[in-house]
Amino acid sequence: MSQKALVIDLHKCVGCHACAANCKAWNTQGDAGPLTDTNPYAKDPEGVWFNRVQTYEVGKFPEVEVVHLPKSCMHCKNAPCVEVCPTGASYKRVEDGIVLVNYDDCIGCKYCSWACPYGCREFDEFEGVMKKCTLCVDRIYNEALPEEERKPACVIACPAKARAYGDIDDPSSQASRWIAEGKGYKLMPESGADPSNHYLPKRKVNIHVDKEALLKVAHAHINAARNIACDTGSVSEDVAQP
Amino acid sequence: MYPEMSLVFLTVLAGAGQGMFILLVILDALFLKSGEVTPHFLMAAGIASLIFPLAGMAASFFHLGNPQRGWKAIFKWKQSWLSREVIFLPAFVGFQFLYLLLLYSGAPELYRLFAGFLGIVTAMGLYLSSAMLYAAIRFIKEWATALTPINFVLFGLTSGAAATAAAAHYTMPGMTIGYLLSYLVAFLAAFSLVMKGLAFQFNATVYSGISIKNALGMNNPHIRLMDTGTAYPHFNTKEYFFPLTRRQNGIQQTLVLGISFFLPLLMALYAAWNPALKLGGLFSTAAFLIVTGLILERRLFFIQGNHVQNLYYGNYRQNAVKNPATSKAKQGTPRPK
Repeated sequence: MSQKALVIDLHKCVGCHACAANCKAWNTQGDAGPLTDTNPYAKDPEGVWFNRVQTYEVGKFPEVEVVHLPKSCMHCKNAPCVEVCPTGASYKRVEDGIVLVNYDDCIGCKYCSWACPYGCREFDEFEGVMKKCTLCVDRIYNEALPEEERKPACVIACPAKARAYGDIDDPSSQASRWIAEGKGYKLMPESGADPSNHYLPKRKVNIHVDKEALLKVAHAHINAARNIACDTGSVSEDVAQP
Repeated sequence: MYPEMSLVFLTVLAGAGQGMFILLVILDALFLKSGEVTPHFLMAAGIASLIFPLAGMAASFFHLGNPQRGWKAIFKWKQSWLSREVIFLPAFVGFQFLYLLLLYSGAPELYRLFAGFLGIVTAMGLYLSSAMLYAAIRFIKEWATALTPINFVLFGLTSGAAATAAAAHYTMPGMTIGYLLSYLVAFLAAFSLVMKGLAFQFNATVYSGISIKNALGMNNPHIRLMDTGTAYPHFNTKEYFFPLTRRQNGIQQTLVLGISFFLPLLMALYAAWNPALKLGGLFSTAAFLIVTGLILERRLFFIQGNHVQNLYYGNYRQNAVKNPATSKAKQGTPRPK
């Protein structure tokens, strides 16, 4: 068995939405596209996105942190959306566990989106079919692309390197190593859907700041500034006399 | 959930047609031989009962994004309740049509009643599948309850009975069946009133036990949504959520109970105590009130559905209901060791 999925490190994610933007850019022109929009350049733009980032404030000041949650289809092992599809348009591939929608069979009844506990399916009003993350199935097996680019668009775009892609059933894959080393968890495990995408939690970072070291750095900066000032011949009072 | 009016009309109208047809076939089997119901009545009411599901079927097409390939929905009948509904609806209409054809052509009673029996079977299958379609969504606690299928059947029978009573009073005035039907309408309306009241009570007190903490996998009591991401509002915030204040909820619940069940109950009781009057108008008003009320009821059924997906967008309606396990423990119930 093989189950391709994403692993997202919430500790590294900076909430820049690059994954969402690149996802939209690739998929709107890829095999799963177009991802149609209403009013794309007007006041209230609306449209189909496979990947959305929500931002949450967790905790109370001063013990507070900001969590950015990029959420796309979880490619659940026990996908509830596939069970309810009346036409079989929604299906889970046996070979790599990716959940896909066959647009030619989809009648646009939206029943699958009701059955999804994560809200990861989006209805295309223009084409009248349900659309969702394909895990960039048109990239990861695309032999026209160089080997290192055969990854989902969101993984390639992430500037913080907060996303890993791979086979979570293969313990040697990068995704599995991230899950094992970073204590990867699933969103809402009580949904019973057994989502494949994993998230790595925020980690506590403790930096010890000692007074001597701080002064050392401060003096080094002051000296550097003084040297520059001397070189240019303009010495202001506060720099000259620390 | 967003109240999709095409689905509201489909379930309410088809439900009324099913209820009417089930009653018709039963009346046919029991009373046609003895002359207590006339073929004229069966034919008139039968045609009316055929119009309801046809109107519902027409409405259902407006729900689909691609209605031209709606027929493909019959494929996964082994796994999807929606697929079963798509099979049962035309099958029911087909058996209704066959029954009326046999009634019109004067075919032997056995054939006619057998077609009617198959119509009843498919009508019950349609009730069950269209209700289980909602009850099978375990992420909406308000829908995933036994009350959903029970109420779909019950409300369909109530609206069907009122329409049948109206037809009976118009086509065979002064006959005993019309008088008996008023008791049936009164009983069903009273029963529905209780069951819908229970459903409202269930929705108000259902404990979901799931929160934003589960949704994010973070054990912190203070979690606040700061940004909903690109292009808000979008499918996830519109399809799964419809604003409803506590006050609006109260008003709509009262209207539903009053229009669809309480007023028709009073009308049916009035009819039962005044058997001599001509009551066709009264029962058609009752049937109209029930169907109108049920449209409001089904719309509220959608709106009250609270999908767990709403947790991510801060739209989840948290009921003020305490966890039954912990609230019991506080009252001094000994905890298991």
